[in-house]
Amino acid sequence: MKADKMQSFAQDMAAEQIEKAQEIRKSDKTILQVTSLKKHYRQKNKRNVLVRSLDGVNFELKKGECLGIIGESGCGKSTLGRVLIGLEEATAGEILIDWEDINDLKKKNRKELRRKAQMVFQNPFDTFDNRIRIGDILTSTLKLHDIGKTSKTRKQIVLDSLKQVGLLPEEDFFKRYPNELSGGQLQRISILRSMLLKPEFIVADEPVSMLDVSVRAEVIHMLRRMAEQENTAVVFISHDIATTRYIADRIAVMYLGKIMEMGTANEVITSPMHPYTKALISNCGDADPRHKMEPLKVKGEPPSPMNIPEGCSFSDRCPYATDRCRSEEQTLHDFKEDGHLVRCRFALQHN
Amino acid sequence: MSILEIKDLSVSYLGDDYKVRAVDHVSLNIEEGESLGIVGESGSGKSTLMLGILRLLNERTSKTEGEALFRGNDLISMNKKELAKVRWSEISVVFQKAMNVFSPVHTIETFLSDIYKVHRPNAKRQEIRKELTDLLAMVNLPKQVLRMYPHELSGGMLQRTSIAMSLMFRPKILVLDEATTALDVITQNQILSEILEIEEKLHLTRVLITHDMSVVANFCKKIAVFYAGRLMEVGYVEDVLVHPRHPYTRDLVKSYPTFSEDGTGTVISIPGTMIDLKKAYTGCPYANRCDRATEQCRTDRPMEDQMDEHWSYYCHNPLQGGETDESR
Amino acid sequence: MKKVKHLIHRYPRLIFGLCMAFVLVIVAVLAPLLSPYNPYDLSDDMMVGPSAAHWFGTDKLGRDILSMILYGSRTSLIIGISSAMIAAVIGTIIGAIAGYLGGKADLILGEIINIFMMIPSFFLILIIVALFGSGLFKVMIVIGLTSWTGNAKIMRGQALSLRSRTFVKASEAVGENRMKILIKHIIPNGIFPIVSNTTMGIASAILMESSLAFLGLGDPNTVSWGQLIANGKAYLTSGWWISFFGGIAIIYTVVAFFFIGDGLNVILNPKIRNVTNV
Repeated sequence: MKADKMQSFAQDMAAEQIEKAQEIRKSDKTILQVTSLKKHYRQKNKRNVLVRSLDGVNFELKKGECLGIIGESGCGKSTLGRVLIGLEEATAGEILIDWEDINDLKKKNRKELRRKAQMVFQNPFDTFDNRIRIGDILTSTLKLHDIGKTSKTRKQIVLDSLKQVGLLPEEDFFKRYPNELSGGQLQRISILRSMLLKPEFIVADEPVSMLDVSVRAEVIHMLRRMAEQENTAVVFISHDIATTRYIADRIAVMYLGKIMEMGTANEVITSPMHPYTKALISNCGDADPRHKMEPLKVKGEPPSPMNIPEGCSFSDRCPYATDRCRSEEQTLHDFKEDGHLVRCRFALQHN
Repeated sequence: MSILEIKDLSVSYLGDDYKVRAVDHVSLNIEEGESLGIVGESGSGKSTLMLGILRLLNERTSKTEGEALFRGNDLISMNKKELAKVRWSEISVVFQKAMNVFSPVHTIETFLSDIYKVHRPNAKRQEIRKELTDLLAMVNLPKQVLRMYPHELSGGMLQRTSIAMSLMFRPKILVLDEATTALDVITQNQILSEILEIEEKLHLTRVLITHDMSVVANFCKKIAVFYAGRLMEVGYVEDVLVHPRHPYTRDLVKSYPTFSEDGTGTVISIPGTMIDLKKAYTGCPYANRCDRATEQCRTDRPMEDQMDEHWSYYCHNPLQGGETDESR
Repeated sequence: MKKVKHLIHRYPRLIFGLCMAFVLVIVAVLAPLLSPYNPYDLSDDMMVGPSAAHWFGTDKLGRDILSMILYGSRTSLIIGISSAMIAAVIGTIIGAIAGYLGGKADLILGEIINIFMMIPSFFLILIIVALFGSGLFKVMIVIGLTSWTGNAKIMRGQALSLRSRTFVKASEAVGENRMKILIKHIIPNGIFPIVSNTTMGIASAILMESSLAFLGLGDPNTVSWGQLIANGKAYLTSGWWISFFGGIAIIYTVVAFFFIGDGLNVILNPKIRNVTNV
């Protein structure tokens, strides 16, 4: 019964995804291209220690696509988010937004960069200044980017969008202060504010991890709906694989500053190829006690990005690791030639 | 046999001009040797319950009423000296931030043996070291950890150490208050599996407080669902999570995204927000968000209804044993 | 009434200080009405001790001490408040810029703050007054310009911690420019400790003015408490009342503003608030 359901479900998913993929290809517009992106930090008191937060990240994002980035804490996923929208500067590598280098954009016109690349933060309770009313926060954003001619039209735009995302009565929300709202409401306003600028892409850094489980779905639904409406690409950063799969078209799994595996969400979740991805997914529990998880055991905890092991960075924890893994750097490889990239030499052998 | 019997327990936080019923007349039995998961969202009172029972709350800003019988002795009315004996050595708690207790300038050994000596002043050095090594071995830590400083240990190792510390006097009840929440899933599962083994060995009763239902589904026998300071439903996980009687349990399960089933499309959120506990209300606190709410739900407080001796719920209009898929 | 009682119970120092300051302000505003004599008028009753005609006595020129003190409150309040304000504005701006921008700006401004902290400000004031002469306005500016470092240090710390808050990051991400964030978010959210520090600053500015006046460097044409004490200095044995009541007035004012500052500190600083009220 269950297997049937899963299969039909998987088929539905696949069909849906193929359709989506075709749509994307039709428009075939790359909005974000990231090439060998690196971000290294030096510790304050130990200047010779290099923290390699991002260590060569490559990917591209098409218009309207949602890329999920999953990984444990310290894998560099949040750093990636901040670098992508230019809040931090990369140490090396290139970020092209709509085929323009992010650094050029920044120099030329910072506002334009902000209009193209937006961000939703993790902590909705701290995203707004508690002294300023929601309405003023939103209208001032419009004013900053010269959207709407008069303050009256701006107010109308804000009221309409509040109504559109179901924050009703909208006049009421317009007048409220941030500390009077719940986390879910605040996060929806945060998404709304980013979307008011109609950006090319939006980075959502753990947007629901601080919210109660019962309100997460509405926030994710809203993000997905608004992104689809405006054909905005989304980089969805999360440690929660189930949630990410729920929204993402493609998923990239990060470990110690590198992408270990990347493919369509369906592929990565249902047939993961990298041992790390397998471990991560098999360790995700289900709220149904009838499906006990069978976690793939891996040794220890992720090493700190200060001393990444030689060779494959997962080699010291990997149950399948060989001497070659420990000495040779691995590269992302498309084994099945279907766009499912894996950074593991033995990916095919384990399946 | 029940080891901890909570009877009609209420905990209120007192403000200048308000009073928050953080735990509202909760009765709950914890059987010896069982593992109970307490789940709830923020503001459900899940943490306050145990803090209130162990009287770890500030007495000037909070008030605890009711009874909590640990082997027949009421912890709420017990004098401080007796309570101190029970706390830590009979019932020990590990908090989410437990790893922060270690003093940064002392080695783990110094820190742990100081605590050991407080309770066993006559212990010899050799004896302490052996004891501590055994403790660490229980949570799969090598004895080298003893000579290390807290900053040399990873988050997972520190949390393991604090769990080892809480087992120092072989407590009967181990309370884990979001103890593994901050850790990565892989580490979290490792630690919880280790705890399962320790439990067998030491005949521990475990209370696991968390917002993560998958952890309860995988690592606990029983579950108690809290909402707005009240107990909504309690029973074996196979019952409560699969055939919930209380609409809130169902909604909570359904808002939990998983990918074994329903990975896309059907994750719901519960409309509305939790009632403001600063204000008095009648009836069921979930009535304003519940699709099955009737007039009665808004006026009368639901009383306990039992399915069997282990499974009870507090709802006027319970679900009739359908699966969690029963439509909302 | 019950509310008032509750407030007093909760913030005793603040309420007490506010009452004291309120009295002071009333006195300063109504000085011409309250004073029995014109403080500049000389009379034949020289060096008279406290009596029915002259409650606080008179000085060697026959001026009424009570009237002088009442009028002197104006000088003290104006100088105290204005120079504390100047210090608050300078300190807030420099501290906020240093803390929020960080990097080189912080390095340079930090050094400037340190230099100003190291200079013994009282001697600096002495030199400036000696060079440019004294006057109410000049004294005010000079005190303000030399006492802002404490505020700057506080504000820098505030800005440093606010800088990493999400709402500041979010404003940057939306495209707000840094100057605007500084004015719109950093300063308003970090200003509270400055408020309490400034109230205490009023007290120390009043003391400073009195010290200057005592040394004869105040404005000779306006009545001030420091001046009054200085005048009485020579007659401490024969006419104690001349200096005594001026001293009391200074203590009263300083205590009032200190209480307000301390009370505000308790309310506005969440860390202390939790400790005292729990």
